[in-house]
Formats: sequence, structure tokens, C-alpha cells
Amino acid sequence: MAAVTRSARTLISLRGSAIPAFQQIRLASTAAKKGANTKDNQESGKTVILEPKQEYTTGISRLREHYRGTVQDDLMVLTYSHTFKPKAKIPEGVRIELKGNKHIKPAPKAPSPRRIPELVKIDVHCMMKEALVSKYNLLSGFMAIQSITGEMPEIINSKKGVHPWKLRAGNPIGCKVTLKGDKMYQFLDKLVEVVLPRMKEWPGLPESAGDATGNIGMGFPPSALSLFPEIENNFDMFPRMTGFDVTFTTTASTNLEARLLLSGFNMPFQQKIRSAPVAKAPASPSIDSASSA
Amino acid sequence: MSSILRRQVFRAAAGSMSTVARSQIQAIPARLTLAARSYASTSAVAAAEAPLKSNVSTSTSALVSSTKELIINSHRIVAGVVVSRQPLILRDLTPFEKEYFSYQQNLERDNAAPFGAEFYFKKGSVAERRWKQQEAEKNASLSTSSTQPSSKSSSKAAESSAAAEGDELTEEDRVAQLEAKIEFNDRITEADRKNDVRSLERALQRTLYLIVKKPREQHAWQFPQGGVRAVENLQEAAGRELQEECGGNMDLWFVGRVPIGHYIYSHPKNFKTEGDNTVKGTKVFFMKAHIFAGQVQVDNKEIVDFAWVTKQEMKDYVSPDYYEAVKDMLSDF
Repeated sequence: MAAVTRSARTLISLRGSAIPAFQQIRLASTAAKKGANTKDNQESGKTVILEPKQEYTTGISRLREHYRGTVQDDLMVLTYSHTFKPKAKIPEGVRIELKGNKHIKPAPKAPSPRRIPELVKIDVHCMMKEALVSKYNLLSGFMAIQSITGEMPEIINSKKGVHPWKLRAGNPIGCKVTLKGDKMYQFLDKLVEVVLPRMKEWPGLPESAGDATGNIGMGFPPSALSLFPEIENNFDMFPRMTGFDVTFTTTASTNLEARLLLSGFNMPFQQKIRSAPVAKAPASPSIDSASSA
Repeated sequence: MSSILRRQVFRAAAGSMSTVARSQIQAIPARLTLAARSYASTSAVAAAEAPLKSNVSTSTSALVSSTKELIINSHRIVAGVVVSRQPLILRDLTPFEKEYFSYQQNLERDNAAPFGAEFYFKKGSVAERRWKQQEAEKNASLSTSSTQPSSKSSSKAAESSAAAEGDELTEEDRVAQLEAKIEFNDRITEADRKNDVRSLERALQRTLYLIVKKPREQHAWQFPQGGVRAVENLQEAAGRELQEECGGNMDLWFVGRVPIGHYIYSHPKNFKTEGDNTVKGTKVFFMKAHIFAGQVQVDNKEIVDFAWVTKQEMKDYVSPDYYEAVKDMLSDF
């Protein structure tokens, strides 16, 4: 308990990066408007604008080069449909209704070198139940997400109040980072090379992963957070470990394409061991014998 | 990146898509024996269900010789393999890119949120000391000039400072000293210097392709290729030909089951085929494969030489017609 209070105090007494976070959390509940996301820097008196973030390409990205050099070409070969027939076009102005409970999926588009699936963004999101008690409990998760992604998270407020959970509408309950560009590839690299191989007894993403429109999501337990090298080295400083979700948004239009794309980046997938299909009766025994001869 | 893992992973994903990427040329029901390779097992059934093409001129009776060559529309069908070795290291940056990246680095540094050093480093620890030193060096290099800070001098400075405080040599210092001893491999290898085109360790930044030399005068250099038999599909034929010509000592992964390109040529008048005089030409279909380990073994019967070359170097080896036909399949980088 002493360790927890000590690190919590350190978190709060920080002059550096925790202050914007602290400020942001305080603002999140008091001023509901997003426009209030600025703060006065006490040291220099300058106004630091936390949003919008700017992207900098500070070097050549290993995974992006791998994508452009290898994955893109292979995906073109693997997903190309040689027998593509376009469906009848829906005339303009016709409203597409829901079919049962589900939206009608957009019609598949013709395969083209300009439409090769690509990773667009990675969302890292965490929700902390502890924030129900005190919003400052969110700081630990906030700092952890910031550490592993290298970006300032944005605070998520609850949209609805749920009485049994003691959740009131507008309370800060989680945080989220959207990664794009170089940071996205760096995070994916870290995930695939460092974190996932060390997750014990994790069999890989299931074969059914994907939301049928080309996005794949996965959840991580709180224990996985400590596998990130940034957290591992300062494990004591984070009083509460939190689970988090990672969503990969791609331009793929089917689950298959999205899985192929991610597997091209070394993301492990479970392989279902299919029992060998039983050949009913050899169509022509002579061919069978000829080929085995 | 561990290439073996990548291959397994790719295979796992490809397993589910055998119905999509199915070989387009299914002349005779493929053999029903299950293929040993991972994702071929499910597609063997699919291949067997593929309808017979009506324009197959081989005898479609049940008794087909397994070595009979496949001839469609009086063209011999040949399967070729484009075996590629992907780049192993990142490419060199152009001077413009270097400038641009250093400019962006400075911008990012200036606009970054303040770093909570007190949070990440314990007070008075070696890590904190080292970080402060690095910061000072970076600031110094930024203020003096826009030239790149030389990493050698900084590491030397770090070493000398560590040596100065030798009396309080901690575990971290010892690790830092070990780290300083790590030597990086050269980006230009021994094979590059000797211009050894048979080595897979050459031209690390480029994609290399395997070409083999056949014992003949004309059109000697080609991709490994050979005739498709009447009972097999393109991928099986490509794998078999590669095995026959280059030996089984290669760890390969075929990218899909569809060809990535083709090359049609008509035979010269005096060209003799083994029996069928109706054959007018040849259609070569190229399959794509990646090599992960192993090397070609020359048996001096089918092939006498081989080379791993880039797209640009290939021009000097193969005939102009052949290069014109295959150049669009190959990577410029």
C-alpha cells in the first residue's frame, strides 16, 4: 500500500508529462468541451496545445518498407480474383435499409493494384473501473498507454450513466490513442516482436478474427501491459495495471484480406488443424495409381 | 525478423484461402492423394472438382501416363518459378531523405510534450545520469550546427566518463560497457566485394531472383522452368521442376496458387518435339516463391550454373525477349 501511495504521489507531483494528463483529467469532468484542451505552461508561460497532434516522419520505417517491398506484392497475388463479376450497381438516391439487424455489406470491388489492403491506424484503448471511485485512478492507465504508444491519450467520458455500476454520464472512464503513420508501425513492431511472443499460453488470433469489414480487434489482459519494455523498466511506478484493447483498422474489405495483411506483419494466427477431407471414392483409380507410381 | 516465423504465419493465413487462390489451369483432375504441404490439403478436393477444359488435346481417357506433357491449344504448358530473396536490410537513404528526416526530428523534438524524467528515472541513478548526458550532447549538437551528431564521438565520451567514475562501477555501467563493444556488421558483404552472384548474402538491400543456366547455346539463362505433366497443377509442376533442377535443399514458400505472369513464344520451324508435331509453341506460367533458407545444388545435368541477381543485372544474363516478358513481374528495389 505504501508503494502505491508513493508512486501515486509521484505521479501527481510530477512537473513533466503527467501535468498535462492531470490537467486533462480534471478538465474532462469540469469543462465538457474539447476546445478547452489547452493549458498554461507554468514554466515558460507559453500555451501548449495538446490537440491536434502532428505527425513527424523522423526515419525510415522497417515495417513500412517491408509492406511496400514484400507484403503489398504478395497480397496482390494472394487476394486477386481472376473471376470477378461486379454486382449490379445500386442506383444513386436509393436508400439502403437494414437487413434484419445488420447493415447490408458494401458490394465487393474489382481487384486492382490500387486497392491492396493497407493498415490505416491502430487504436489503443483502455477502460478502468477504478476510475468510477476516483477519476485520478485513471492516471496510471493514462501514463501506461502514453508510455507504450508514445502519444498523449485522449480521455474518454462515459456517454450514459449506469446506476448499478455507480457510473454517471460525463465521468472520465477511459483513455484512447489513435496511432497513424510511423508511430503505428513502431507500435505494431513492438507488439509483434516483443510483447506477443512473451504472452504465455496465448495461442494467437483466432481464425475467425475480424469484423467482416476489414478491421481486427484484440484484447489484452493487465498482465500483458508489463511485457512492454517501457513499462517493464518502471513497473513500480504504475500503481494499477489495466487491460487494454488494440484495434487494427485496414482498408481491407473482408476478414480474409485483413488477416492476410496482419499475418504479413508476423502477427500470429491460430491454425485450425483440419482433419483430412475423406475422399468419397476415387473418381478414376487409374489416375491415382499413375500419380503415385 | 525471424523469417521462419513469418513463413509459418503466412502459411496459416493462406490455409483458409485455398478456395480463392486456386490454380486456373486444371486440365485433368488432380491427383487425389493429399499433398504434404500445409494448405494444399484442402484444395486437393477443390482441384478435383474443377471441370475438364474442353480444349485439352491430351487423351482424356483414364489411362494417362503420369509423365505425359500437357498440351493445350497446340501449346506446351510450362511452369516456371520466380524464386525471390527479399531485402534483408533497410535501403540506404538518399541525401534528400537524410536532410528531411533530420529536419523532422528537430521539429518533433521542439514540439514534443515535456518529458517526465523524474517519473522514469530514480534520482541519482546511473540511468538518470546517462540520460542527462545524452540530452546535453543532443542540445550541444543542435546549437552548434545542423550537422548529424556523430555517434562514435558520443559513445567515446560516454565511455570516458564511465571510466572516470570507475570507483562506483555498478551493474548498469558494466552492461553499458558491454553494449559499447557491440560491433555492427558491414552493409556491404564479402560476396559483394568478390561479386559472387551465387551467394545469397549479396546485395542485402535488394530483392534477388534466382536464374539458372541450362547446357545450351541460346536462351541458356532462364528462371527454373519445365513442362507441366498432364496429372498435376501449376504449383505442383513448379515445385517438382525446382526440385529436379535445383535440388531439395531450399526452404521455399509459394505465394498463392495462381501464376503472376506468363510468356508465350512460338517454336521455330526446325524445332522438334518428342512426338507431337502439332505443337506450335510454348506458354510459360510463372509462379512466385520466397526462399527462406538453403541454397541451389547444381547437378550439371539439367543446369550447369545459377545466379542470384537483381532485376537490373538480369538484363545481362537472359535474352532480350525473355527479359521483356518477365520484367514487369520483378521488383525494381
